[in-house]
Amino acid sequence: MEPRQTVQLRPDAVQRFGGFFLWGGLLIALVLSAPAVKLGDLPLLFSRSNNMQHFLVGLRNPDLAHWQDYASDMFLTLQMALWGSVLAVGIATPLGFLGARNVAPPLIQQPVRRLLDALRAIPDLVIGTVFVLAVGLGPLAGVLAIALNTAGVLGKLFSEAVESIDPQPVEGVRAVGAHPVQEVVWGIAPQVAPLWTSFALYRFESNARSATILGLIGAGGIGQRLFESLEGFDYSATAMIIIIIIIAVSAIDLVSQAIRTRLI
Amino acid sequence: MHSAVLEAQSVSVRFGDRLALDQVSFTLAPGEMTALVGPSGSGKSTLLRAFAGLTPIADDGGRIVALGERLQDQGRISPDARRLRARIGFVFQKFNLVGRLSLYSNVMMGRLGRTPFWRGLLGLWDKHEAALGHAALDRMGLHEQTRQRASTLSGGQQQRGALARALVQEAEVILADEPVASLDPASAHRVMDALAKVNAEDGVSVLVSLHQIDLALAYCSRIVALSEGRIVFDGPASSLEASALHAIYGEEYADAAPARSAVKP
Repeated sequence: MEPRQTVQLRPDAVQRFGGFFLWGGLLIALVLSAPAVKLGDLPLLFSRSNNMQHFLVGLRNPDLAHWQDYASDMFLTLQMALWGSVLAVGIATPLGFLGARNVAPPLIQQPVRRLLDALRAIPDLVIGTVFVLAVGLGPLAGVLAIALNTAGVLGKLFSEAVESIDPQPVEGVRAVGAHPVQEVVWGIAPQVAPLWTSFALYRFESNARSATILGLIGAGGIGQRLFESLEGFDYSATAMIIIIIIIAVSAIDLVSQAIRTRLI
Repeated sequence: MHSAVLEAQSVSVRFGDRLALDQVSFTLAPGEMTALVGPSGSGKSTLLRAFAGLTPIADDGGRIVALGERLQDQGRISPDARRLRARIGFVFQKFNLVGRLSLYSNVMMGRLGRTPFWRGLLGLWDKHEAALGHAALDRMGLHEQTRQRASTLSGGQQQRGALARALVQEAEVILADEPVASLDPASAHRVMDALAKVNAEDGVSVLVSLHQIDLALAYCSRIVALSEGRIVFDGPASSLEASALHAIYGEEYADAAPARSAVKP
């Protein structure tokens, strides 16, 4: 569909050849990659129907009896996401200003950006594993992992928001004899506030999901419960847990989206 | 006190290869309301910004003295520039208010240079300062708009808000850079009236750059004309002749002085 559109819009030979090359290349890459990802095992999805059937039966009969336990675990996961996100905003706020070209000199701005790159580059699962070693199993390791990874993401987004502000109001603040820090607080912060809040809320949404995954490394919460039920073949518990995760994450998405659309 | 509020001594400003100001010497006397005129790119904004310590001057022996203190010297802005800026009001062509903050917050920012750092940072204005703010807003006819977001105000209201900020600042001199260039004629006159009133009633010296000659002649007793970074005319408004204007403005003459093309000096 895409290549045909291109051809219709720009029916010159070069475009046509370029489109052919691009899509042909993609096709070749897909074919060559198929053995590596064991695409041939796809029929197992149906031939091992016993296992699947077992799983599906469990999913059809969610474990309603223990929903309160699961809900309280879900609540713990959301609390992890909340703390992780708020700590991240705390870290990202100064770094967001210091990482902006129009605020900090290159000697500060560049190292701050590289630090943010590093925080972003390490997946929270890896950071979490390190923190489990430091503070032991439990939600705190998850909170810290979320905080650092999210600080890397938010710091970069915050900096870019600062770099795209209108410099004129800031000059207006400077002209009254304000301190440079006052210029940032009075001239820049009000301009970036809506965008920053929107970014932070969006990251909180994603962190609600990340916090679930962090259960895998023993960070507690609903994720841990989910992986335990899977390992114990307790599929009706798995089903109930998945239902609760879907409800909670969707609810947060809806609320946060509603707030974000009102902000911008 | 000082004999001059603002003083430029053979000031040059370079932007890359371009000479925006070329050895300009100029003095503004206390209580004076002077217009800076000239075609676009003649250096009006640059001179005003140099007086506020916003644009650094070239290191070729020129210097800028504001309110009796050295503001720029040897191509460097004095470390004391912040303290001096607090005493100099600046009005921008595009108002430069912070759109998302209330008009009141914007006006109170005029105190930032005059209050201790933390109090200013947190916006904890005392009673005296708040009273100054409300008085300034009343004077500018903006009482109703006090709590409104600056971005929701009309251009004329925003510019009068910027003037209120200079009042709250208790500025001893106001530099206005094309303050009415973005406004319709009625709003422009209202802003110029307010500026002239502050000059007349408070004795605040005013240096205002204007593209339109008519406004300059109507509101200012002294006219300084710049062309290609040099002062080409400096004298009472009455002695500015149409032929001189023609020479100053060239192709922009009809735009800058539409009504005067036919009028004799």
